[in-house]
Amino acid sequence: MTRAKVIIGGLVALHALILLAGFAAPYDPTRQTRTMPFAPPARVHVFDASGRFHVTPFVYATVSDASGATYSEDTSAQFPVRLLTHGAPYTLFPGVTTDIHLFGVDEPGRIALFGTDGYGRDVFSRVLYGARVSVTAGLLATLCALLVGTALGTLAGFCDGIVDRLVMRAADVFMAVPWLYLLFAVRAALPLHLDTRAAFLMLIAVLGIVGWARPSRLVRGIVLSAKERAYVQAAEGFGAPPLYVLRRHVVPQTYGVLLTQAGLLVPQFILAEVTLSFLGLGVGEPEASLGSMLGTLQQYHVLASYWWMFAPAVALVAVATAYHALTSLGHERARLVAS
Amino acid sequence: MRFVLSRLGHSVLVLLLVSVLTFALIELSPGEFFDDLRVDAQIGSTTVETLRQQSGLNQAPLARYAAWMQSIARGDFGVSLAHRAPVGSLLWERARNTLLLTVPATVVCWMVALPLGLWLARHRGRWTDRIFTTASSTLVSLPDILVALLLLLVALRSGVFPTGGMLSPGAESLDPMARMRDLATHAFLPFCALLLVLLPPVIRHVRASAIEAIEAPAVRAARGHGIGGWHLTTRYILPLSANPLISLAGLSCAALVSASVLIEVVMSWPGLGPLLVESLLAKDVHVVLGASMLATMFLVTGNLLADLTLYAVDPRVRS
Amino acid sequence: MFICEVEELTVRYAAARGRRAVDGVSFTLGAGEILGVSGPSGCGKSTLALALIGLLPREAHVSGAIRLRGRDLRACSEREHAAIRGAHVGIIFQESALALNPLRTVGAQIADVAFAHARCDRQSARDRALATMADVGLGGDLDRIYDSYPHELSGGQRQRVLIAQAIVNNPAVVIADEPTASLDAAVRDDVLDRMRTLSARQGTSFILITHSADVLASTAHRVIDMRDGRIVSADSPHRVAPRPTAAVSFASIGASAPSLEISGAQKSHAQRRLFSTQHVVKALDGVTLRLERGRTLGLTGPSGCGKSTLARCLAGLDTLDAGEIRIEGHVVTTQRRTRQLHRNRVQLIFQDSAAALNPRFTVHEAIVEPMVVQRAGTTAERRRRAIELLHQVGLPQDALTSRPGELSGGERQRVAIARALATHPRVLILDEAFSGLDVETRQRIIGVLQGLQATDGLAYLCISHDIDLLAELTSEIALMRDGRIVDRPAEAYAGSMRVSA
Repeated sequence: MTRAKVIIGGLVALHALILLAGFAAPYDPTRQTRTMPFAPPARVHVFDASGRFHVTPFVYATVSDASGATYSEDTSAQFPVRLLTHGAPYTLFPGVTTDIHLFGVDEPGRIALFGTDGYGRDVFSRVLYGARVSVTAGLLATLCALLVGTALGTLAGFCDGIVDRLVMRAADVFMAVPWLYLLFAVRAALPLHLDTRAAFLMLIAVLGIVGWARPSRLVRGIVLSAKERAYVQAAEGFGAPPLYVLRRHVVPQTYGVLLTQAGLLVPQFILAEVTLSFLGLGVGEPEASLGSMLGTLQQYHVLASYWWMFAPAVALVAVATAYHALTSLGHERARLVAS
Repeated sequence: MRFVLSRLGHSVLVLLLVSVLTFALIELSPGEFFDDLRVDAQIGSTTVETLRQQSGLNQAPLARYAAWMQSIARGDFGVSLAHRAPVGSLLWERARNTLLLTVPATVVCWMVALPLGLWLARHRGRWTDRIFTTASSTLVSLPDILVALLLLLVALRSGVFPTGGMLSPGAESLDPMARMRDLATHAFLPFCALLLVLLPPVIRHVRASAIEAIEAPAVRAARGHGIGGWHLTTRYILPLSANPLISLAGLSCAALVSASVLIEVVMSWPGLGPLLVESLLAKDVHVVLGASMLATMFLVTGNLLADLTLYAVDPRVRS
Repeated sequence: MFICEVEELTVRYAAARGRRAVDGVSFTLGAGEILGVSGPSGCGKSTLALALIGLLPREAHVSGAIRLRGRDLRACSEREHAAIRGAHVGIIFQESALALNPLRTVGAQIADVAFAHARCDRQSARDRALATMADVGLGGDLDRIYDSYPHELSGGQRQRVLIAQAIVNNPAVVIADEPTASLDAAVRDDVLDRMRTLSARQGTSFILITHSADVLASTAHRVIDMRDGRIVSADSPHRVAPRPTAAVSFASIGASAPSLEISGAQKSHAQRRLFSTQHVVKALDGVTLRLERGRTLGLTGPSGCGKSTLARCLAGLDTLDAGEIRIEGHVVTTQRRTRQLHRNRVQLIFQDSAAALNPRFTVHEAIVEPMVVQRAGTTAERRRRAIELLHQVGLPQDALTSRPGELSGGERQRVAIARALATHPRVLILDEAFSGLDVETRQRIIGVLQGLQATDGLAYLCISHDIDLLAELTSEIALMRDGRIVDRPAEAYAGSMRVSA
């Protein structure tokens, strides 16, 4: 398999897993089990206490000792891991509710692959749901920024003159403020505490506003050079109206740049969402969010003792690595084509 | 000269427009600093009004912007509502702490990245290059929050380094040498975190620019004439790869006040980062405005310096 | 003994699935000999040059022998190679704008070559560079040119700098890769003359790579032809490409109005500079021309004389400031309807065929584009016409589904012509339309054009800086300089060109 296929396949699989968070996660992310705060990750065994091999992996129940400080496994009962189990109902798509999960164990066993957090909620499920929020926010925000950027960049490049100068001056201003400060400033302009849906939309709007400037610059450059191409002049020679030229000749030239920009912006925006949530300015409790989950690590006792709370980082790193690999693939392809 | 003036004028214009933009954004925001007080039943509404008048929050936006611009011209950046201190001195003190971290980190970063990037470019495709590129790709994927948290964990576990802050309590009473050492131990982990965050992209850019320069027709032609070794690197490859790197260096200047924000928050380093976040949450308008303007000034200055350097270095820009 | 021997040289790129860029090439080169290497683009000439000098990329696999004065070059290490390059083997690269470091003065770059090999100090390297600059004909203030940057010099001057770099150390062999492409005729002659002098007087051998038959005819002692990496005819005395018979006779001459006529044309360009006064450049200064029906008129002149501006105005892509254009007797006005009619009647064929066709369009889409834009005919009718046009330019019907990138330069140019014919033009303006094409392709296109002229009475205005090319097409050649027509026909100008022996 070529490297390109591996990278693209990996990306698609990752996105499928994340977007189908409801299916992949065994538990409802907001379900609390106050009796089991900060339980370590469940260990999946194939050999039981007496050394016998089981084909189906299983878990033991986790019990806490009298003081509630330490956890141990209760080897009396085995709970085999089953695929496609019935669990808590969730919405797969708007209008489609189901209760089938990818894997799970029978009650009262619990398979907390990444342990539980301070409220006893399954971290693995929360990571998946949180990743869904972050990745969706990143994708939608990128779409937003690219749409605005392309529209304004095409306008600037095609119309020239004062329109061009206005748009570019505006882009200058937006690029003159360091990205993080602009993010904070725009965030400050919006209400501090929002409900989940509003917070989500707000995030997307904020990121779109922050990120339109560079794509618009690049698109403008392409439009300017495309205008000078001989085939555009030839088309004008045949009497092609400007809109036709834009649609057929100019805009298709931007696809390459837009793809590269998307590859760069999506991880950046995902990180922006995580940053805002980390500081309490994004998606907050009780919704699962990678940022707020990482935020709990700021408490020393959590940082020192409960290493599984770093789990959101796994999702983040996986997504970021996949996108970086995609971008460098794109660069390689571009270099090969150019040479 | 004309070029210098035009770039300077452009920078000033951009700064002005940014101030308008930031001010507009703050204006748009619902809620005020005194909202919390309003909710508190014990504080009368007249008291709140008086406080508002004192802080000038009751004037129309345009009047407030004009007043703010006027005070800027005088050098007065307004007063922080939460800290009850002039914004200027507050920012200055915090910025100093931030720069204490970022300047050494940036310098070390470039000192390492330039030769390393050049070396990687020369050996591109070989296994050493592949190891480094994979490593740096992995590092780039780690968000700076994560790097800071991991290093904080190291501090907690090892007990060698302090887990936050800039100086130990009671450090003022120590002699200068001991105080320096104290500062250094506190700064070490944030410095490392920052370096780990700054290095990968810079190395990547240096390597990419160097590769482009090495594969440029002009360099191939020079090799065709038997020019090689040190002479080729210094007179042909480096100058040709300098152009995008100069722009990157300009951006590094902006990063002097923005790269360490999150690291400072996580590791409790009293720099601009924590100040910004607090002020954001408290809607302390003037501080947010002042900090944004400061950051913009750094970015604009960095770009200006980069443009001027390009002008001095690249004869094609001069004509 | 031969200065250079090449035996069974083969260059393969792993990525290209074993296709050989150079396939079993063998030849010898004597002292003072000028060996011409010709062939269509992609035949492996440039790869051969790079192989001789050892500059192939890492991915290339080389086999065979290259011997310089008996020494096996293939067995040399990179360091030994570096010592040989520039000292014993010089190379003149193709694109002067690219082959020079834009950030270093040209003089320093020549001195660099001297310094790298001659073990002298900086000052002697400078002196040597200055002496060589004089030798290659960089006249005028040598010190000023020494301190100039490449972009401040003209194309001809830059080319001479490349030559100076190649010969500053008096190498035994010089490999010249298209040393005179895109040069004005006068400059080209001078450069070739100096080459001949060097070979005669100092015994420098040259490997002259070019696809220009005239350069080979005038300068090469021997020519080897390459195709697909192989030598197809070697050691033949200078072969001149067969010239076509004189321009074909045309349909009807006589009292019909001239196809295209322009009189008293004026046009100025304003160059906007930041913060300074506007420079006004007069591109056309009272141009008057007549092009009769069914005839071909050539137009030549040094670069910057206004040829392209004239072409654009004639094709209706630019408006004149003053003057009149008539098409078949009708005056062209600035009204939109007549302007479109004007553009349809007079079509422009661009120099770079790759740039003139949208790389994402298929040939079919490109050819029917004029019809689509002007809403002429149904889809089926347009397709029929496209096939008909392809037929007229000699391309097969299955070319319809190809993209420009899959076609050769000559095929692309023919597609551009087919597209231009879609609007039933009376005049075709060919602006440097043959540059970059090899001899065979050129002949084929000329054949197509002459055929169209015979059947449809098309008139052609052929613009080129290559006066020999124009001479093949027509005997009427106008000379343009500084926005004016100064001479027609061009016998006086042709006198400065040497004729093939």
